[in-house]
Amino acid sequence: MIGDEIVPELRMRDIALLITFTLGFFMVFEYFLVWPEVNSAATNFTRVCTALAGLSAIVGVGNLTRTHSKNVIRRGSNWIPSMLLLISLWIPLIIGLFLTRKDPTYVYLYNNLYTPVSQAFFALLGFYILSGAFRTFRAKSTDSIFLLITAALVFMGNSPVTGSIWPGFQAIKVWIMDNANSAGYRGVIMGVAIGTIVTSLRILIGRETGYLAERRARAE
Amino acid sequence: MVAVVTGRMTVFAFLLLFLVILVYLVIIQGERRKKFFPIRRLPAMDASEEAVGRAVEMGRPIHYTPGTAVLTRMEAPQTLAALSILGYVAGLAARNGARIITTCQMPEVFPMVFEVVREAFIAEDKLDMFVEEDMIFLPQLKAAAGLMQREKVAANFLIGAFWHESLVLAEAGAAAGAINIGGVATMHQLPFLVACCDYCLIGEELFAASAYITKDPVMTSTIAGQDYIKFITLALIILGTLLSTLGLPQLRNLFG
Repeated sequence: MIGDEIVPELRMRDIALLITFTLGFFMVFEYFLVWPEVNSAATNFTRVCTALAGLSAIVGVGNLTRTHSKNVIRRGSNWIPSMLLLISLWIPLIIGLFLTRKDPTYVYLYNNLYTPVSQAFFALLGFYILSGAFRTFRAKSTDSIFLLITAALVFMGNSPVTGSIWPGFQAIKVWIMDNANSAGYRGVIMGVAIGTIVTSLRILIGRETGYLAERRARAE
Repeated sequence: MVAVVTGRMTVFAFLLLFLVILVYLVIIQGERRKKFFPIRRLPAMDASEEAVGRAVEMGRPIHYTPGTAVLTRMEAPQTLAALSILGYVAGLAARNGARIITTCQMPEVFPMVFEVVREAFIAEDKLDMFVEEDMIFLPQLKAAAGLMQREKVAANFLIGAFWHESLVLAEAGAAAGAINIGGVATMHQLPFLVACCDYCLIGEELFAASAYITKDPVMTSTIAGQDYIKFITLALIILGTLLSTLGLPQLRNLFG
């Protein structure tokens, strides 16, 4: 066929790259232009993307249900937590879908199950910070000694007790945060910003394709 | 009537300049001349092989998560960069016969994670070793902390954009006795991962990792382009600072 000669093999990968290029640059240029038709099209496109992203939750729920149902049916390891997960996933989902999120049963489950569990997990961060600090702030090398001293000074500058013992801790902390910390922070953030722009452009022009699950040649 | 939004003209012009630099380096230096721009060592990527080897020796699995940034956020490039690295790590796991467990919080990214790992196993002729149940969707990524403890993972890869869960996952990995390899460009989580991981890709290293792995001239030329753009930006900052100090704020005003 004539079409086959012109486009010998338009693979799924090429289609994906074409869509990325066209829509990606459309959205980039739309940001800079005052063009009512284009701006309106971009707004609608963003809404479609948001809706599609929401629908993709079905994939996640499907995976969770399949994985844990198999475990429950097989009576595999940790099958009881798997069953609890399925119950806690599907019961609020069904209530929310059929009786809306304002239904008292849904609100009760949310306030008395999800919120406390979520808060408890969030509270664990305090312990993790402590264990992380214990592992990190050990004087193993010159670098770690500097890190330890700096962290101790900032810690003392932030603590009201040490501030009342010697107000100088506060001034040292402010100097570290405003000078040493800001200098390093700005350097990294500039690299990240440029890296983000260049990676985005690399994706748009089809030179970063790792996310397309391309079959790579076996490394020697 | 088509016009450029007021105050965005300079940024628009610089974006076009960046694009021209990048396309020039990709087409002329990368594709035609096959010029290879060397990239400095990234210890976190060098340690990946060691981490996978360790998992094989211990007979324990590897855990990999590409962060928690959805594709509609400005952190999406970090997620896509993490997926490129996932392909490499999954390839290493398949080649060496290690089990890899991936956890993902973003439903729209989950199918991509699945395909990236599956294709890596196919490329190594090890599709029979690919376990679908090890591709796990977690509505809250923090739940991976328990998973790591139960599975006693030997290597824990936390690469992508993270929020508060970075510390939870890094500490859970350490508690399970895993070697922690992190990679993040979200500034608020960088200190946590640097502190708690054995190796970490810091900031822009995350974006350079895929070029470092592939050593492809086209990919490395884009990293060189990134450096040229950085030099231009630095020159503008220095020039702008000098001119503003001398009472000439025109350059500074150009950028709003």
